[in-house]
Amino acid sequence: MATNLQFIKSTSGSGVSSLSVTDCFNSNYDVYQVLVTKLQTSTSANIDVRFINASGVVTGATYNEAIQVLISNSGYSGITGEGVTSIGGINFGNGSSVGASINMTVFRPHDSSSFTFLNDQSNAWTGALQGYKGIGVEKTAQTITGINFFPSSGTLTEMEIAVYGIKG
Amino acid sequence: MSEFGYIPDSSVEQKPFSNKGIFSPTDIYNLDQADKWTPQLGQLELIETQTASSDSTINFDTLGSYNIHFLTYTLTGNSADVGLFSRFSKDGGSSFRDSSYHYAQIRGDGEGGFTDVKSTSMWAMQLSDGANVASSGHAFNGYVYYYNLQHATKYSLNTNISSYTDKNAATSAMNYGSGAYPVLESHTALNIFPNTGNISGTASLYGIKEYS
Repeated sequence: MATNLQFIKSTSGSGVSSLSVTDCFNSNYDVYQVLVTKLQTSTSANIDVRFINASGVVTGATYNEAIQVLISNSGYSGITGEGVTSIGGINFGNGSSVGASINMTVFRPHDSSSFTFLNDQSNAWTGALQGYKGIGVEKTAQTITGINFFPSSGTLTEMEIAVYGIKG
Repeated sequence: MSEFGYIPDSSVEQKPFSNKGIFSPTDIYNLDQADKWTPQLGQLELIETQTASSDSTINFDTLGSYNIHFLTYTLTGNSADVGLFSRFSKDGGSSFRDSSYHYAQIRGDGEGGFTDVKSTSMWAMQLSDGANVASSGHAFNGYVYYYNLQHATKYSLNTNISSYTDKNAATSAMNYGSGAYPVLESHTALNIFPNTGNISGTASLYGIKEYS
């Protein structure tokens, strides 16, 4: 059956401080889906995201974010940021291997005349269910070619990322 | 000549996105059957579409082999105050787990604002609640991503979004959030069902193909 979700690239890593998928965004697609089903960190840490351009990982204070954290056994909270150096807290790792997921849609990364936006809906098990729903943007009109994930502390014990293009 | 097509260096390994050589239609067919051919048709693979007609549940007893499943649904029913839920089975759908689920959602409706809805000891994972699907034109509509259903070493998780008509004032309403079954076991079937009454309509289950 023909469908419009088309695999582009995947990468995996273990015991690394960050994990990138390079050269996964191109002029063939305007919208991408980034999926993670294997995620474990060495210690309790937020999972943060940055984008990659031709010079490498974009580390400037050019990101904005608004993320809700929905927890099954306590009150909900939020993460917001304006002019920050990453889209921080799209998910959480706590050293457990029992499961976490990230499901992210990235809009127009390769368009040099637009900012790069993402939607995120993900979850993790931290002794209770911890869900995430949010948005982020890199506010520079530039060509983005890849995406970089990293924990706010410790390392990525295990991570596997797959990038798909959504054919228009 | 190698097993799959003409390849000057027969040590070349054929795999998706890295096919090398000159291939006949038969080679391509054989490589595709062996899951070694670069896919041409997309990676959202339909497992099954089911049509319900005044049924108490929709069961998907075949999951294929995927890390991520994607479910879409549009369903009417016969209740004016009903929720939609999902469960997992480890015996092919003969029975479904009916306790220990977690969920954490936000519910919003056009008149009532937004409410946190959650549980750590639920008999199913909630997708929608407080819906009227009995009146003409009303329906549950939504989608669910399920993660790691078939991995015995990982919990089965989902993320979900739904829209429907609120039970009180016929305004639109929605739920979004996550669900989990925090028991290490492999699941072989899933279902969606209303907590009261019956449902009619269609639901489709897809698998998202991955390559390493």
